[in-house]
Amino acid sequence: MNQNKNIFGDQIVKPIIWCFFLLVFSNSLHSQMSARLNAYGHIDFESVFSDTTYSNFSLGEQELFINAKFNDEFSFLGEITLNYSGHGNYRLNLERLRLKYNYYKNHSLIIGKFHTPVNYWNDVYFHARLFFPTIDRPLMFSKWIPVHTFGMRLQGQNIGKNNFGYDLLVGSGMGSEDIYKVFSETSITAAVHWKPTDEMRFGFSGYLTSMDDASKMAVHSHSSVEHEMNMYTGPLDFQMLNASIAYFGEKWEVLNEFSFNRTKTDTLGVSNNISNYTYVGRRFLEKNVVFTGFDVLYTGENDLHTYPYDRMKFILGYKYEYSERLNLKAQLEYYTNMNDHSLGSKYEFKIQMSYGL
Amino acid sequence: MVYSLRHFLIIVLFLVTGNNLNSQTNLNDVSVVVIGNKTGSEKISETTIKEYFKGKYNKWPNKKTVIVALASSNHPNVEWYSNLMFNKSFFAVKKYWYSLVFQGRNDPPYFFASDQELIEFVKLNPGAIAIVEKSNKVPENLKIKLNE
Repeated sequence: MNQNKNIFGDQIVKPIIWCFFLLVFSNSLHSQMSARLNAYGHIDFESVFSDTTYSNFSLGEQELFINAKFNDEFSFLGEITLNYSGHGNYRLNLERLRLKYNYYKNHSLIIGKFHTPVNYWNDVYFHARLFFPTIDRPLMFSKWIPVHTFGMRLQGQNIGKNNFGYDLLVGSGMGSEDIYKVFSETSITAAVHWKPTDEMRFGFSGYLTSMDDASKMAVHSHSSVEHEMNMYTGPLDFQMLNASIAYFGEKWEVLNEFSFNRTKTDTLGVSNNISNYTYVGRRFLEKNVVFTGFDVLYTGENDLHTYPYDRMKFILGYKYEYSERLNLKAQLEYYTNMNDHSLGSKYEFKIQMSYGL
Repeated sequence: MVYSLRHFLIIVLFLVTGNNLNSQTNLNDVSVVVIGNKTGSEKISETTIKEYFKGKYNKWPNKKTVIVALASSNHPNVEWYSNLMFNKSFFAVKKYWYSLVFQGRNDPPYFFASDQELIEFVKLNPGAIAIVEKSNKVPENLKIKLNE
Protein backbone atom coordinates (compact mmCIF):
# COMPACT_ATOMS: atom_id res chain seq x y z
CA MET A 1 0.00 0.00 0.00
CA ASN A 2 2.84 2.36 0.92
CA GLN A 3 4.54 1.42 -2.30
CA ASN A 4 1.44 2.47 -4.22
CA LYS A 5 1.45 5.75 -2.39
CA ASN A 6 5.05 6.47 -3.38
CA ILE A 7 4.43 5.52 -6.98
CA PHE A 8 1.44 7.83 -7.01
CA GLY A 9 3.45 10.68 -5.50
CA ASP A 10 6.48 10.36 -7.76
CA GLN A 11 4.96 9.26 -11.01
CA ILE A 12 1.59 10.97 -11.04
CA VAL A 13 1.47 14.03 -8.81
CA LYS A 14 4.83 15.53 -9.79
CA PRO A 15 4.26 15.34 -13.56
CA ILE A 16 0.79 16.81 -13.05
CA ILE A 17 2.21 19.73 -11.09
CA TRP A 18 4.87 20.30 -13.76
CA CYS A 19 2.12 20.27 -16.41
CA PHE A 20 0.22 22.76 -14.29
CA PHE A 21 3.09 25.24 -14.35
CA LEU A 22 3.90 24.54 -17.99
CA LEU A 23 0.34 25.42 -18.89
CA VAL A 24 0.73 28.74 -17.15
CA PHE A 25 4.07 29.73 -18.55
CA SER A 26 3.75 28.29 -22.03
CA ASN A 27 0.80 30.50 -22.80
CA SER A 28 2.82 32.76 -25.08
CA LEU A 29 3.85 29.76 -27.19
CA HIS A 30 0.29 28.95 -28.13
CA SER A 31 -1.63 31.80 -29.62
CA GLN A 32 -4.84 29.70 -29.62
CA MET A 33 -4.70 29.08 -25.89
CA SER A 34 -5.61 31.55 -23.18
CA ALA A 35 -4.78 30.98 -19.53
CA ARG A 36 -5.39 32.91 -16.34
CA LEU A 37 -3.69 32.41 -13.02
CA ASN A 38 -5.18 33.47 -9.69
CA ALA A 39 -4.01 33.07 -6.13
CA TYR A 40 -6.15 32.82 -3.01
CA GLY A 41 -5.36 32.56 0.66
CA HIS A 42 -6.28 33.46 4.18
CA ILE A 43 -4.71 34.38 7.51
CA ASP A 44 -6.46 33.32 10.72
CA PHE A 45 -6.59 34.27 14.35
CA GLU A 46 -8.52 32.14 16.83
CA SER A 47 -9.05 32.04 20.56
CA VAL A 48 -10.58 28.96 22.15
CA PHE A 49 -12.25 29.13 25.56
CA SER A 50 -12.96 25.69 27.05
CA ASP A 51 -11.27 23.79 29.92
CA THR A 52 -8.08 25.39 28.70
CA THR A 53 -7.78 28.67 26.87
CA TYR A 54 -5.42 29.37 24.02
CA SER A 55 -4.98 31.62 21.01
CA ASN A 56 -3.40 31.00 17.61
CA PHE A 57 -2.40 33.32 14.84
CA SER A 58 -1.80 31.23 11.75
CA LEU A 59 -1.20 31.22 8.03
CA GLY A 60 -4.17 29.51 6.43
CA GLU A 61 -4.47 27.63 3.18
CA GLN A 62 -2.72 29.28 0.22
CA GLU A 63 -3.64 28.28 -3.29
CA LEU A 64 -2.99 28.71 -6.98
CA PHE A 65 -5.83 28.47 -9.45
CA ILE A 66 -5.51 28.28 -13.21
CA ASN A 67 -8.24 28.46 -15.79
CA ALA A 68 -7.15 27.82 -19.37
CA LYS A 69 -8.90 27.43 -22.68
CA PHE A 70 -7.42 25.30 -25.45
CA ASN A 71 -10.12 26.18 -27.97
CA ASP A 72 -13.89 26.79 -28.03
CA GLU A 73 -14.66 23.25 -26.80
CA PHE A 74 -11.80 22.21 -24.51
CA SER A 75 -10.79 23.95 -21.29
CA PHE A 76 -8.61 23.16 -18.30
CA LEU A 77 -8.98 24.04 -14.64
CA GLY A 78 -6.43 23.34 -11.94
CA GLU A 79 -6.20 24.23 -8.27
CA ILE A 80 -3.36 23.42 -5.88
CA THR A 81 -3.13 24.31 -2.20
CA LEU A 82 -0.37 24.64 0.35
CA ASN A 83 -1.21 23.88 3.96
CA TYR A 84 0.95 24.24 7.04
CA SER A 85 1.76 20.76 8.32
CA GLY A 86 4.16 21.25 11.19
CA HIS A 87 7.34 23.13 11.95
CA GLY A 88 8.63 24.63 8.71
CA ASN A 89 6.71 22.16 6.56
CA TYR A 90 3.92 22.56 4.09
CA ARG A 91 1.71 19.97 2.42
CA LEU A 92 0.99 20.38 -1.27
CA ASN A 93 -2.45 19.18 -2.39
CA LEU A 94 -3.91 18.87 -5.82
CA GLU A 95 -7.49 19.97 -5.17
CA ARG A 96 -8.93 20.17 -8.66
CA LEU A 97 -7.54 19.18 -12.02
CA ARG A 98 -10.04 18.75 -14.78
CA LEU A 99 -10.35 18.76 -18.51
CA LYS A 100 -13.72 19.95 -19.75
CA TYR A 101 -15.24 19.26 -23.14
CA ASN A 102 -18.18 21.52 -23.91
CA TYR A 103 -19.86 19.25 -26.45
CA TYR A 104 -23.23 20.93 -26.94
CA LYS A 105 -24.56 24.32 -25.80
CA ASN A 106 -24.32 24.30 -21.97
CA HIS A 107 -23.65 20.56 -21.69
CA SER A 108 -20.15 19.31 -20.91
CA LEU A 109 -18.14 16.20 -20.22
CA ILE A 110 -15.49 16.60 -17.51
CA ILE A 111 -12.65 14.25 -16.66
CA GLY A 112 -10.29 14.61 -13.72
CA LYS A 113 -10.45 15.47 -10.05
CA PHE A 114 -13.21 17.87 -9.04
CA HIS A 115 -15.34 18.93 -6.12
CA THR A 116 -18.23 16.47 -5.72
CA PRO A 117 -21.34 18.57 -6.44
CA VAL A 118 -23.34 17.14 -3.53
CA ASN A 119 -24.37 20.51 -2.14
CA TYR A 120 -24.23 24.24 -2.85
CA TRP A 121 -21.18 24.83 -0.65
CA ASN A 122 -19.03 22.20 -2.29
CA ASP A 123 -20.17 23.13 -5.80
CA VAL A 124 -19.69 26.88 -5.47
CA TYR A 125 -17.11 27.82 -2.81
CA PHE A 126 -14.33 25.23 -3.23
CA HIS A 127 -11.24 26.22 -1.26
CA ALA A 128 -11.13 30.01 -1.43
CA ARG A 129 -12.25 31.39 1.95
CA LEU A 130 -12.92 34.65 0.16
CA PHE A 131 -16.23 33.19 -1.03
CA PHE A 132 -17.23 31.43 2.21
CA PRO A 133 -20.13 33.14 4.00
CA THR A 134 -18.76 32.00 7.39
CA ILE A 135 -15.16 31.32 8.45
CA ASP A 136 -15.51 27.53 8.58
CA ARG A 137 -17.24 24.95 6.46
CA PRO A 138 -20.39 23.33 7.87
CA LEU A 139 -19.78 20.53 10.41
CA MET A 140 -20.93 17.85 7.93
CA PHE A 141 -17.73 18.49 5.90
CA SER A 142 -15.61 17.24 8.79
CA LYS A 143 -17.55 13.99 9.00
CA TRP A 144 -18.99 12.69 5.78
CA ILE A 145 -19.14 15.07 2.83
CA PRO A 146 -16.95 13.60 0.05
CA VAL A 147 -15.23 16.84 -0.93
CA HIS A 148 -13.43 15.52 -4.01
CA THR A 149 -14.05 12.83 -6.59
CA PHE A 150 -11.69 11.63 -9.27
CA GLY A 151 -13.56 10.36 -12.30
CA MET A 152 -15.89 11.35 -15.09
CA ARG A 153 -18.74 13.84 -14.96
CA LEU A 154 -21.59 14.92 -17.19
CA GLN A 155 -22.63 18.49 -16.44
CA GLY A 156 -25.38 20.78 -17.66
CA GLN A 157 -26.04 24.30 -16.48
CA ASN A 158 -28.47 27.15 -17.14
CA ILE A 159 -30.75 24.94 -19.17
CA GLY A 160 -34.02 26.40 -20.33
CA LYS A 161 -35.97 29.35 -19.06
CA ASN A 162 -35.76 28.21 -15.44
CA ASN A 163 -31.99 27.65 -15.38
CA PHE A 164 -31.93 23.97 -14.54
CA GLY A 165 -28.63 22.23 -14.01
CA TYR A 166 -27.54 18.65 -13.55
CA ASP A 167 -24.43 16.66 -12.66
CA LEU A 168 -23.97 12.95 -13.05
CA LEU A 169 -20.63 11.51 -12.07
CA VAL A 170 -18.91 8.23 -11.59
CA GLY A 171 -15.57 8.06 -9.86
CA SER A 172 -13.47 7.25 -6.85
CA GLY A 173 -15.13 6.44 -3.56
CA MET A 174 -14.48 7.92 -0.13
CA GLY A 175 -11.29 5.98 0.39
CA SER A 176 -9.29 7.86 -2.20
CA GLU A 177 -9.64 11.25 -3.84
CA ASP A 178 -6.88 10.75 -6.39
CA ILE A 179 -7.05 7.20 -7.64
CA TYR A 180 -10.20 5.65 -9.01
CA LYS A 181 -10.00 1.94 -8.27
CA VAL A 182 -12.52 1.11 -10.96
CA PHE A 183 -13.37 -2.41 -9.93
CA SER A 184 -13.11 -2.15 -6.17
CA GLU A 185 -14.47 1.22 -5.01
CA THR A 186 -16.82 3.40 -7.01
CA SER A 187 -19.04 6.30 -6.09
CA ILE A 188 -22.04 7.57 -8.03
CA THR A 189 -23.35 11.10 -7.62
CA ALA A 190 -26.51 12.51 -9.18
CA ALA A 191 -27.37 16.16 -8.56
CA VAL A 192 -29.90 18.63 -9.94
CA HIS A 193 -30.34 22.33 -9.26
CA TRP A 194 -32.70 25.07 -10.23
CA LYS A 195 -32.06 28.83 -10.29
CA PRO A 196 -35.42 30.62 -10.45
CA THR A 197 -33.59 33.97 -10.18
CA ASP A 198 -29.93 35.02 -10.39
CA GLU A 199 -29.77 35.21 -6.61
CA MET A 200 -31.50 31.96 -5.72
CA ARG A 201 -30.63 28.30 -6.17
CA PHE A 202 -32.28 25.09 -4.99
CA GLY A 203 -30.41 21.83 -5.24
CA PHE A 204 -30.84 18.13 -4.47
CA SER A 205 -28.34 15.31 -4.71
CA GLY A 206 -27.83 11.65 -4.04
CA TYR A 207 -24.51 9.93 -3.46
CA LEU A 208 -23.71 6.26 -2.92
CA THR A 209 -20.60 4.22 -2.49
CA SER A 210 -19.28 1.10 -0.81
CA MET A 211 -15.91 0.79 0.81
CA ASP A 212 -13.84 -2.26 1.72
CA ASP A 213 -12.08 -0.53 4.58
CA ALA A 214 -13.97 2.27 6.32
CA SER A 215 -10.88 3.52 8.13
CA LYS A 216 -9.45 4.91 4.89
CA MET A 217 -11.52 8.00 4.48
CA ALA A 218 -9.83 10.76 2.59
CA VAL A 219 -13.00 12.83 2.88
CA HIS A 220 -12.07 13.70 6.43
CA SER A 221 -9.13 15.77 5.28
CA HIS A 222 -11.19 18.96 5.43
CA SER A 223 -11.93 18.87 9.10
CA SER A 224 -11.36 22.02 11.08
CA VAL A 225 -13.09 20.72 14.18
CA GLU A 226 -12.69 17.74 16.45
CA HIS A 227 -12.17 14.57 14.51
CA GLU A 228 -10.96 11.16 15.48
CA MET A 229 -9.53 8.47 13.22
CA ASN A 230 -11.92 5.70 12.27
CA MET A 231 -10.91 2.43 13.94
CA TYR A 232 -13.32 0.24 11.99
CA THR A 233 -11.48 -1.47 9.15
CA GLY A 234 -14.33 -3.55 7.74
CA PRO A 235 -16.62 -2.97 4.74
CA LEU A 236 -19.31 -0.31 4.82
CA ASP A 237 -22.12 0.85 2.48
CA PHE A 238 -22.78 4.59 2.41
CA GLN A 239 -25.82 6.36 0.93
CA MET A 240 -26.42 10.09 1.21
CA LEU A 241 -29.11 12.63 0.29
CA ASN A 242 -28.57 16.39 0.38
CA ALA A 243 -30.73 19.45 -0.13
CA SER A 244 -29.54 23.04 -0.49
CA ILE A 245 -31.33 26.37 -0.54
CA ALA A 246 -29.26 29.45 -1.33
CA TYR A 247 -30.35 33.05 -1.64
CA PHE A 248 -27.75 35.79 -1.97
CA GLY A 249 -29.61 39.02 -2.66
CA GLU A 250 -28.51 42.60 -2.36
CA LYS A 251 -29.68 42.81 1.26
CA TRP A 252 -30.42 39.33 2.57
CA GLU A 253 -28.32 36.19 2.34
CA VAL A 254 -29.63 32.75 3.29
CA LEU A 255 -27.99 29.39 2.92
CA ASN A 256 -29.34 26.10 4.22
CA GLU A 257 -27.48 22.83 3.74
CA PHE A 258 -29.23 19.63 4.78
CA SER A 259 -27.59 16.23 4.70
CA PHE A 260 -28.85 12.79 5.60
CA ASN A 261 -26.86 9.60 5.28
CA ARG A 262 -27.37 5.95 5.98
CA THR A 263 -24.48 3.63 6.69
CA LYS A 264 -24.66 -0.14 6.79
CA THR A 265 -22.16 -2.60 8.20
CA ASP A 266 -22.36 -6.35 8.81
CA THR A 267 -21.23 -5.71 12.37
CA LEU A 268 -23.79 -3.20 13.67
CA GLY A 269 -26.34 -2.88 10.88
CA VAL A 270 -27.94 0.33 9.63
CA SER A 271 -27.36 3.78 11.11
CA ASN A 272 -29.15 7.00 10.13
CA ASN A 273 -27.17 10.22 10.45
CA ILE A 274 -28.25 13.80 9.92
CA SER A 275 -26.81 17.29 9.73
CA ASN A 276 -28.12 20.78 8.96
CA TYR A 277 -26.34 24.11 8.54
CA THR A 278 -28.25 27.40 8.38
CA TYR A 279 -26.74 30.80 7.62
CA VAL A 280 -28.60 34.10 7.55
CA GLY A 281 -26.83 37.35 6.71
CA ARG A 282 -28.02 40.94 6.40
CA ARG A 283 -25.99 43.23 4.17
CA PHE A 284 -25.83 46.95 4.88
CA LEU A 285 -23.92 49.83 3.29
CA GLU A 286 -23.10 47.43 0.43
CA LYS A 287 -19.89 45.96 1.87
CA ASN A 288 -20.90 45.01 5.41
CA VAL A 289 -22.68 41.82 6.43
CA VAL A 290 -23.82 40.81 9.90
CA PHE A 291 -24.65 37.14 10.08
CA THR A 292 -25.80 34.36 12.31
CA GLY A 293 -25.77 30.62 11.87
CA PHE A 294 -26.75 27.35 13.42
CA ASP A 295 -25.05 24.08 12.64
CA VAL A 296 -26.05 20.68 13.99
CA LEU A 297 -24.77 17.17 13.37
CA TYR A 298 -25.99 13.90 14.81
CA THR A 299 -24.85 10.34 14.11
CA GLY A 300 -26.55 7.15 15.26
CA GLU A 301 -25.30 4.97 18.10
CA ASN A 302 -24.34 2.14 15.74
CA ASP A 303 -22.55 4.19 13.09
CA LEU A 304 -19.12 2.89 12.16
CA HIS A 305 -18.32 5.56 9.59
CA THR A 306 -18.13 8.66 11.76
CA TYR A 307 -18.94 6.94 15.08
CA PRO A 308 -21.57 8.22 17.52
CA TYR A 309 -21.19 11.97 17.62
CA ASP A 310 -23.41 14.94 18.19
CA ARG A 311 -22.55 18.59 18.07
CA MET A 312 -24.32 21.90 17.85
CA LYS A 313 -22.70 25.16 16.89
CA PHE A 314 -24.09 28.69 17.14
CA ILE A 315 -22.47 31.43 15.11
CA LEU A 316 -22.60 35.22 15.28
CA GLY A 317 -20.37 37.23 13.00
CA TYR A 318 -19.53 40.22 10.89
CA LYS A 319 -17.94 40.47 7.46
CA TYR A 320 -16.44 43.52 5.82
CA GLU A 321 -15.75 43.27 2.09
CA TYR A 322 -12.97 45.72 1.48
CA SER A 323 -13.13 44.81 -2.21
CA GLU A 324 -14.30 41.81 -4.23
CA ARG A 325 -10.84 40.34 -3.62
CA LEU A 326 -10.26 41.12 0.04
CA ASN A 327 -12.50 40.64 3.02
CA LEU A 328 -12.37 40.37 6.77
CA LYS A 329 -14.59 38.18 8.93
CA ALA A 330 -14.95 38.11 12.71
CA GLN A 331 -16.97 35.32 14.28
CA LEU A 332 -18.04 34.17 17.73
CA GLU A 333 -18.93 30.47 18.02
CA TYR A 334 -20.47 28.42 20.76
CA TYR A 335 -20.24 24.63 20.62
CA THR A 336 -22.35 22.30 22.69
CA ASN A 337 -23.98 18.84 22.54
CA MET A 338 -27.43 17.33 22.59
CA ASN A 339 -26.68 14.02 24.34
CA ASP A 340 -23.02 13.11 24.46
CA HIS A 341 -21.30 15.60 26.75
CA SER A 342 -17.83 14.10 26.53
CA LEU A 343 -16.69 16.77 24.10
CA GLY A 344 -17.87 19.56 26.38
CA SER A 345 -18.99 23.06 25.53
CA LYS A 346 -16.71 25.79 24.37
CA TYR A 347 -16.55 29.26 22.89
CA GLU A 348 -14.34 30.24 19.99
CA PHE A 349 -13.56 33.66 18.67
CA LYS A 350 -12.09 33.87 15.19
CA ILE A 351 -10.86 36.53 12.80
CA GLN A 352 -10.02 35.73 9.21
CA MET A 353 -8.60 37.84 6.44
CA SER A 354 -9.12 36.21 3.05
CA TYR A 355 -7.89 37.40 -0.32
CA GLY A 356 -7.77 36.61 -3.99
CA LEU A 357 -5.26 38.00 -6.50
CA MET B 1 -56.20 34.81 10.72
CA VAL B 2 -56.11 34.84 6.90
CA TYR B 3 -55.63 38.63 7.04
CA SER B 4 -52.64 38.28 9.42
CA LEU B 5 -51.14 35.50 7.32
CA ARG B 6 -51.41 37.65 4.20
CA HIS B 7 -49.62 40.52 5.95
CA PHE B 8 -46.96 38.17 7.22
CA LEU B 9 -46.33 36.81 3.70
CA ILE B 10 -46.15 40.34 2.26
CA ILE B 11 -43.57 41.32 4.89
CA VAL B 12 -41.48 38.18 4.22
CA LEU B 13 -41.66 38.81 0.48
CA PHE B 14 -40.58 42.41 0.97
CA LEU B 15 -37.67 41.41 3.20
CA VAL B 16 -36.45 38.84 0.71
CA THR B 17 -36.97 40.75 -2.49
CA GLY B 18 -37.16 44.34 -1.27
CA ASN B 19 -34.02 45.24 -3.14
CA ASN B 20 -35.44 43.96 -6.40
CA LEU B 21 -38.70 45.82 -6.30
CA ASN B 22 -37.28 48.68 -8.34
CA SER B 23 -38.05 47.60 -11.88
CA GLN B 24 -35.23 47.51 -14.39
CA THR B 25 -34.93 50.16 -17.08
CA ASN B 26 -35.79 49.11 -20.62
CA LEU B 27 -32.63 49.32 -22.73
CA ASN B 28 -34.57 50.71 -25.70
CA ASP B 29 -35.69 53.65 -23.57
CA VAL B 30 -32.20 54.81 -22.70
CA SER B 31 -29.36 56.12 -24.78
CA VAL B 32 -27.28 52.93 -24.97
CA VAL B 33 -26.74 50.42 -27.71
CA VAL B 34 -25.73 46.77 -27.42
CA ILE B 35 -22.88 45.86 -29.75
CA GLY B 36 -21.66 42.46 -30.84
CA ASN B 37 -19.31 40.96 -33.41
CA LYS B 38 -20.42 37.99 -35.50
CA THR B 39 -22.79 36.74 -32.84
CA GLY B 40 -25.33 35.50 -35.36
CA SER B 41 -27.96 37.39 -33.37
CA GLU B 42 -28.63 40.72 -35.07
CA LYS B 43 -32.02 40.88 -33.39
CA ILE B 44 -32.54 39.52 -29.90
CA SER B 45 -34.80 40.06 -26.90
CA GLU B 46 -33.63 42.26 -24.07
CA THR B 47 -34.04 39.45 -21.55
CA THR B 48 -31.88 37.12 -23.63
CA ILE B 49 -29.09 39.65 -24.22
CA LYS B 50 -28.92 40.30 -20.46
CA GLU B 51 -28.57 36.55 -19.90
CA TYR B 52 -25.58 36.52 -22.25
CA PHE B 53 -24.00 39.33 -20.20
CA LYS B 54 -24.64 37.31 -17.03
CA GLY B 55 -22.79 34.31 -18.44
CA LYS B 56 -25.83 32.09 -18.76
CA TYR B 57 -24.75 30.95 -22.22
CA ASN B 58 -21.22 30.05 -23.26
CA LYS B 59 -21.92 30.06 -26.99
CA TRP B 60 -23.88 32.04 -29.56
CA PRO B 61 -26.33 30.22 -31.85
CA ASN B 62 -23.59 30.27 -34.56
CA LYS B 63 -21.29 28.33 -32.14
CA LYS B 64 -18.94 31.31 -31.53
CA THR B 65 -17.80 31.57 -27.92
CA VAL B 66 -19.43 34.40 -25.96
CA ILE B 67 -16.88 37.02 -24.85
CA VAL B 68 -18.30 39.53 -22.39
CA ALA B 69 -16.77 43.03 -22.35
CA LEU B 70 -17.73 45.30 -19.46
CA ALA B 71 -16.99 48.80 -18.24
CA SER B 72 -14.14 48.90 -15.70
CA SER B 73 -14.07 50.92 -12.49
CA ASN B 74 -12.41 53.79 -14.40
CA HIS B 75 -15.23 54.00 -16.94
CA PRO B 76 -17.40 57.10 -16.27
CA ASN B 77 -20.62 55.11 -16.87
CA VAL B 78 -19.68 52.00 -14.93
CA GLU B 79 -22.45 52.17 -12.31
CA TRP B 80 -25.08 53.06 -14.90
CA TYR B 81 -24.13 50.18 -17.21
CA SER B 82 -23.94 47.73 -14.29
CA ASN B 83 -27.38 48.73 -13.17
CA LEU B 84 -28.82 48.49 -16.69
CA MET B 85 -27.48 45.04 -17.48
CA PHE B 86 -27.32 43.35 -14.07
CA ASN B 87 -29.56 45.44 -11.83
CA LYS B 88 -26.58 45.47 -9.46
CA SER B 89 -23.81 47.84 -8.40
CA PHE B 90 -20.43 47.43 -10.09
CA PHE B 91 -19.04 45.99 -6.85
CA ALA B 92 -21.74 43.29 -6.92
CA VAL B 93 -21.12 42.62 -10.64
CA LYS B 94 -17.39 42.05 -10.00
CA LYS B 95 -18.19 39.68 -7.14
CA TYR B 96 -20.70 37.81 -9.29
CA TRP B 97 -18.24 37.29 -12.14
CA TYR B 98 -15.29 36.56 -9.86
CA SER B 99 -17.26 33.71 -8.28
CA LEU B 100 -18.44 32.29 -11.64
CA VAL B 101 -14.88 32.17 -12.96
CA PHE B 102 -13.58 30.47 -9.82
CA GLN B 103 -16.31 27.83 -10.13
CA GLY B 104 -14.96 27.09 -13.60
CA ARG B 105 -18.33 27.82 -15.18
CA ASN B 106 -17.38 30.76 -17.38
CA ASP B 107 -14.44 32.54 -18.94
CA PRO B 108 -13.69 35.84 -17.23
CA PRO B 109 -15.10 39.01 -18.81
CA TYR B 110 -12.84 41.79 -20.11
CA PHE B 111 -12.97 45.25 -18.54
CA PHE B 112 -12.38 48.57 -20.34
CA ALA B 113 -12.13 52.17 -19.20
CA SER B 114 -14.00 53.87 -22.07
CA ASP B 115 -16.65 53.28 -24.72
CA GLN B 116 -14.01 53.63 -27.44
CA GLU B 117 -11.98 50.78 -25.92
CA LEU B 118 -15.12 48.64 -25.68
CA ILE B 119 -15.97 49.28 -29.35
CA GLU B 120 -12.41 48.51 -30.48
CA PHE B 121 -12.36 45.27 -28.49
CA VAL B 122 -15.69 44.10 -29.90
CA LYS B 123 -14.55 45.00 -33.44
CA LEU B 124 -11.47 42.81 -33.08
CA ASN B 125 -13.04 39.81 -31.33
CA PRO B 126 -15.72 37.67 -32.96
CA GLY B 127 -18.27 36.61 -30.33
CA ALA B 128 -17.66 39.69 -28.15
CA ILE B 129 -20.51 41.84 -26.75
CA ALA B 130 -20.66 45.14 -24.87
CA ILE B 131 -22.91 48.11 -24.27
CA VAL B 132 -21.93 51.67 -25.12
CA GLU B 133 -23.67 55.02 -25.38
CA LYS B 134 -25.60 55.67 -28.60
CA SER B 135 -23.71 58.92 -29.09
CA ASN B 136 -20.56 56.96 -30.04
CA LYS B 137 -19.71 56.23 -33.65
CA VAL B 138 -20.57 52.55 -33.86
CA PRO B 139 -20.32 50.61 -37.16
CA GLU B 140 -23.80 49.45 -38.19
CA ASN B 141 -22.70 45.82 -38.46
CA LEU B 142 -21.89 45.74 -34.73
CA LYS B 143 -25.26 47.00 -33.53
CA ILE B 144 -27.63 44.40 -32.07
CA LYS B 145 -31.30 45.32 -32.33
CA LEU B 146 -33.41 44.55 -29.30
CA ASN B 147 -36.95 43.23 -29.53
CA GLU B 148 -39.57 44.91 -27.41
